[in-house]
Amino acid sequence: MLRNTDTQWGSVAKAFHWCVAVFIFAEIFLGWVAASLTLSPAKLNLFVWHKSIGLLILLVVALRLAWRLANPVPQPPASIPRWQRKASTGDHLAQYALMLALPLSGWIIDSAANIPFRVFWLFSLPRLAAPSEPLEELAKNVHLGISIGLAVLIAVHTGAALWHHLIARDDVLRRMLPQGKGEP
Amino acid sequence: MIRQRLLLALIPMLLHVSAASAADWILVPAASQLEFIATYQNQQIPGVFRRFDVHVALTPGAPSGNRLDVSVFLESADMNSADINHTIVKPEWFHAARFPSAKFESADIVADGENHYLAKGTLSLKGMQRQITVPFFWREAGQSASMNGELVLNRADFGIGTGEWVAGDPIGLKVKVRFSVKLDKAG
Repeated sequence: MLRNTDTQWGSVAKAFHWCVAVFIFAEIFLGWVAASLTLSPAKLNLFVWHKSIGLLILLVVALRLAWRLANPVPQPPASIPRWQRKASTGDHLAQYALMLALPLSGWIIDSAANIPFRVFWLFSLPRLAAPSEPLEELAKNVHLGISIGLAVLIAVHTGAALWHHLIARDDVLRRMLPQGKGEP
Repeated sequence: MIRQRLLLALIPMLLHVSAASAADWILVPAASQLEFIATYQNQQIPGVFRRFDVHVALTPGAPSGNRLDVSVFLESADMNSADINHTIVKPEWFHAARFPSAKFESADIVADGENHYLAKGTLSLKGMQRQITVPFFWREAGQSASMNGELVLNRADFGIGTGEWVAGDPIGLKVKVRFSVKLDKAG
């Protein structure tokens, strides 16, 4: 089952979800380590990985949004109160927005810093901004702020998923697991 | 006594006359550019030196008395990136605090084809001296002249890029230097 239904996530949506999840955790780790090193060949290489995976996330999230718009979205169980539905929708929307904004702000840092960079050592991308130290500093702060915001949203998202599984004992988490199925 | 003093006073004049046998040229900074092109993973990364000085004494056809003196202020290196500019003056690279300027001095300029010359001399950079040859085109028109050329230096010859940067990857060892300089006739 590739496509979603009103009660089940299809395998494409699941693959998008878990790929992006792994990429985001890799990005947080790579970005943290790379930023804390003094300038060295190793630091440059870590940043090539960080920037390349970040751009991959931008591409995958764009495809993921297109897929989501072209598919039904499985609904939460009927027992879930209105405020939780709203909170869930808000958290998901905000996560999508930040997953796009984070790589874009990184791309602006890269452009303003004007450090030579090729995506996965293969090809370079156009600049989003002219070289500028003030813009670089601003974009770095925005990038850090967005990443903290996304980390908070992910924490809420993960906490809510565990709450569904362990306390509400419904199928909300299970139906997103690779082999998991929702109750029909 | 008086005659001796007179003779002594003549010496600087004589020296001046001999030095002036080649025409003296001074730099027009606003119309001149000194570029250096490094590489990062084989991509060319261009930079410029914003402050440098060039003094030329050259008479085309004259076998001697020609000179080329260049000073480059390393603090003024600009690779169009704040991060790189902060890094490049540090001890691993130019160590500009200890070696503020690079100098090239040549008193051996030979013609090498039409409008083309070779200046053989000493480049002092980051405390190292190396004999190099700077090839250049020279074109004079009345009171102004232009000088263009390029050469390739090996940064390892001057200890530029130490520690983890010694290897030619990711920052290449060869650095191209390219100059396009305008000069005015002195006096």
